Amino acid sequence: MIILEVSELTKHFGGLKAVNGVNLRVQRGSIHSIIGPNGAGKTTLFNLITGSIRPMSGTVLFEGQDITGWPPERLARGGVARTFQRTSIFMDLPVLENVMLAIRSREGRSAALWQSHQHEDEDADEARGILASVGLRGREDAKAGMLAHGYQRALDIAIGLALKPRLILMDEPLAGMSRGDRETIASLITLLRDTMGLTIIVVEHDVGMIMRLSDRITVMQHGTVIADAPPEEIRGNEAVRQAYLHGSFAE
Amino acid sequence: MTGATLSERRTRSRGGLIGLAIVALAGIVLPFASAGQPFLLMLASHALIAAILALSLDMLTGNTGLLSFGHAAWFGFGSYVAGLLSKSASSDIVVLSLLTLAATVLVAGVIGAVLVRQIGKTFAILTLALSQIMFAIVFVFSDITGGEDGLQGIPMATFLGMQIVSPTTWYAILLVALLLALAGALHLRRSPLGRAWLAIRENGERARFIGMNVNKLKLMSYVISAGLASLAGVLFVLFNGATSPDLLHWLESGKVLMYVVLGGVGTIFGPVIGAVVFTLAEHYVSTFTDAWLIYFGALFVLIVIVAPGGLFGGAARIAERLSARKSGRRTAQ
Amino acid sequence: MLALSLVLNGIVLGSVLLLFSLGLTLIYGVGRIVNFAHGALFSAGAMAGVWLVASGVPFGLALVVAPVGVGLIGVLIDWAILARIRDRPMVDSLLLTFGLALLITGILYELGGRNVQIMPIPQVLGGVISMGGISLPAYRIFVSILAVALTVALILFLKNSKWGLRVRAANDDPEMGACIGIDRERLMHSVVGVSAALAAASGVAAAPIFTAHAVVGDKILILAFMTVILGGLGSLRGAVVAAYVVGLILVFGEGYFGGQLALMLLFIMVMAMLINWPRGFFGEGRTE
Repeated sequence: MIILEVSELTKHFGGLKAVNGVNLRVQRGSIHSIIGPNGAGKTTLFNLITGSIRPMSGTVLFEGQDITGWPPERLARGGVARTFQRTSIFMDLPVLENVMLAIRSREGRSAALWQSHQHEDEDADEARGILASVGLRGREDAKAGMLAHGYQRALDIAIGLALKPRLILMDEPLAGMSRGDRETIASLITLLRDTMGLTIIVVEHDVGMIMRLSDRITVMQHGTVIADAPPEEIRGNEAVRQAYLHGSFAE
Repeated sequence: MTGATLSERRTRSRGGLIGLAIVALAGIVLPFASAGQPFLLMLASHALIAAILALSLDMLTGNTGLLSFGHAAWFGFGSYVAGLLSKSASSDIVVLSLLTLAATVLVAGVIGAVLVRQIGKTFAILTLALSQIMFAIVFVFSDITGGEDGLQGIPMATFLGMQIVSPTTWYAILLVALLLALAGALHLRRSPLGRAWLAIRENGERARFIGMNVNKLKLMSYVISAGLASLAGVLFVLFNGATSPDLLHWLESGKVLMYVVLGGVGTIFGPVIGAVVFTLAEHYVSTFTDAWLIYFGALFVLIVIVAPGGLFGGAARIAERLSARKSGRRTAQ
Repeated sequence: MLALSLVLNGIVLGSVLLLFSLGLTLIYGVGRIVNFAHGALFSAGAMAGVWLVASGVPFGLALVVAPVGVGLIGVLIDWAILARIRDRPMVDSLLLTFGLALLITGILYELGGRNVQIMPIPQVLGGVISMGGISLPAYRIFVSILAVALTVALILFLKNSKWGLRVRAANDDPEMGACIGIDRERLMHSVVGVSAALAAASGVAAAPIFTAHAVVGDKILILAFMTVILGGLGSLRGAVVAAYVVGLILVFGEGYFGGQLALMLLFIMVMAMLINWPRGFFGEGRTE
């Protein structure tokens, strides 16, 4: 079953065809990765889907609904969450509060002037549960900024999970991580798919890890899709091999 | 497991209550200490109004990080609206407060809706411009506002049909108003809204991506802040018996900003202390030199360079760290 | 006839505004600083000009000496004060220049700025020029030509000199500027100096029209802020167009409704424009 369908999505910056007529179909409950050399248009595609920038033409359907050009806050409430390449959390606030903010936002209680103890405790319990699921049990009261790098990335994911999304997009979740942290995050991503049935779109540079992690891979070059197949087929794809040889791709 | 947040919440609210108690106590003791010196009580009353005004700016800057360089606009707006209404509608302090508040919410809501959509620098510039425009409006409608002479002859304010005459009663009213405003600010800080504000102040982009309507939340902060500033204006005009365009001048906005910067942005009690200290200091400095603006400006520059967190803000942070260490030890046990 | 005369006066005000706003745009472009003290520097220039002329310095010389003096003060301010907060968050730079505005205003008050000082129009420029039934004081025409000439000179200098190249590089991307070996500190000193000199030059030039006192620059600062917002924060050509738009709106507003109401009108128009075009006339305003 298709959860996200991108059709003929196009965005040019001046003369640069950053994303040019891209089509993409993402299966529900899969890990779908988008890779490609630098400047291939991955990040632009990502930003188009998550509402950071508006496309010039083309459509994005999420669960059959047209979400093209929706602003981020509307997408977040509609079941599409994202994480950031440069970890984006509320550094000065406690870890637990980071997640509780997202829970209250999901429940439409961000602007509430008052909250009952019962709500407060329910939110806190739920937040603890989410934190435990990403391996942050016992760190609830620490300031988010004091966490180690890998844990901050996990918190970023936890904030996304608190929105109870059906689709979560991750912008280079493995970038700038130590080897051990990369393994941890990769297994966390797999876990999210297997236990929660989440659909996850990953934009990544780290090809090795992506091959093991993904159910399907879309390869982009010069703003267009040059291959879209399961990992084993991508491995043997001639066009992809060429793209890697010519691109400044860091393996 | 929920024990930790509950106890955390209790400690936090306890800190606020202790602060409130100290302010109340200091406020109650002063009239006795100043017996026989009516001038001192009057100065203290002005300091209380300044404190409410400072708190109002901290409700904006301290919560969402938006800097207003023209906050006097709302202080002056409140004083003129209440002053004009007191001549025509009612002299009851509560009625005047409510009517002025309604007018402010309306006007600040419309203007704020445009302002909060701008980037920080444009926001800052426009707030300064706004206060200059309000200043200009006083002169456009000189025949009803009194122009340069200001609005004079405000009838004596009443409360439940009784005239408020004695300076001590006034002082008590202002003190209660400040305590109520402080209690409100402390409550907001702990409410979902207050915590959403802090999230926006820290990382507005992330806040959007978790589904917060950032502009709406910022607008709420702006309107609440403008509303409280206008209430300070209501109290000022009724206490003072007159108001003038000086209240809208950018120097007045500069003073309010100074209270907050001096006291520490976002610390709630800091700006209040800043306002009181600064009002007293301004009075005493201006008795022996009229060049106080130089000292004021130099101090402003110095604080921004040396202690961006404010003088009291720095002290508050140290206290917070100490108490955090203490509570950390407690949970460890 | 009134309309035409208002157009001419609008162009005069627009020209002064242009020269003044240019300094604001320059310092914003290179240092990302919104300079709240720019108006105080205008006042400083005006007062210095009046003082020089009153002490027997010819007007033409005062027009050079006062800006140079204020420009040097600008360099001093950057070196001693602004340099302390280079890498701090934007909020600090706003607060700092606001504090500077208070400080400079305070100093000007003590230097006699509480009283309005009149700058006599130099005799050569004293007449009235009539064209087709419309008469305009010759001095106003002189001010417009001077302001436009200085603006053109500055733009040419920015385009053709080594200094201009550095300024433009830093304007496009501060980090890139550092990469190609620009000494950022010295560049900022010079930019703040030039910016202050421009403020002062417009102050002296406008003094015979606006008079001189400690807060004479307040109103022009607000007008210049409206100008840079209309033109898009940091956009040079936006500022050029916006300066004349603001000048014309204000003069026409004053002509038909009175001065203070014109300011109000301008503010409402700026707010209305921001709803649809938050990045100014050419869509070049910075959004960071």
